[in-house]
Amino acid sequence: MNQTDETPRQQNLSLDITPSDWAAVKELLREVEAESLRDNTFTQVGFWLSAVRLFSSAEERMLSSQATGSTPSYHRPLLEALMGLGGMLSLQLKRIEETHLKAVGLDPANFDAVVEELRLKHLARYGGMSPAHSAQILTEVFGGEAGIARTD
Amino acid sequence: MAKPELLEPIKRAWYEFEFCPFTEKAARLAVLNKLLDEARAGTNLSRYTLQQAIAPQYEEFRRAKRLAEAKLPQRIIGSKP
Repeated sequence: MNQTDETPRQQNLSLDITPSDWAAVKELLREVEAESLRDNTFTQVGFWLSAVRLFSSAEERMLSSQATGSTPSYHRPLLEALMGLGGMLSLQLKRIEETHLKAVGLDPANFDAVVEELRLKHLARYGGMSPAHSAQILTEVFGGEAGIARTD
Repeated sequence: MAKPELLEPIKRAWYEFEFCPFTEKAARLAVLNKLLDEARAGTNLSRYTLQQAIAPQYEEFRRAKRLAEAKLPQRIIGSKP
């Protein structure tokens, strides 16, 4: 049999892909990309929370053995790096739908509270308030005893 | 008007916020913020300024409490029935 005489099975070489087919493919790609971004954010959140726990336990040891009152030089940059990354992850979490957050048991309010906890640590240690100013505020808010206790 | 009765509850709430499990963080922070807002009512102080002023006393409170908590299990283990 002569092959050239055979009628080609595929009549149209354009694949007949309609605009609605393309739209479906694009939607699927968007969904896959969003899922990948979500997974990536959740992984980063997990690592970040572990880093905060490690930092806190190192800080705990530092505070319990702190007789001289000095803070190791790495404390501030590490704390600031964790604060910065935490702030960025908090923004990323706000872009994720609640149903996806619930699926992994993550409440962004708790995450934000941990970022706030780090901010408070930074403020307490590096805020730069003088003992005199602190005593003045404590006296104003809590009365004389509080301010006196602060300057002891 | 000064509110001396709020200083210890603020330090306790701060401690509980710092050492609570992750799932309780937001709720504990809300308690701390409520107490701070109560204390600073009628002043021009921001929450952060007030916390900064309390911070040195809080650090002492925290250290004493952690030390007491660390000693507690040893006391229980070492105690005779």
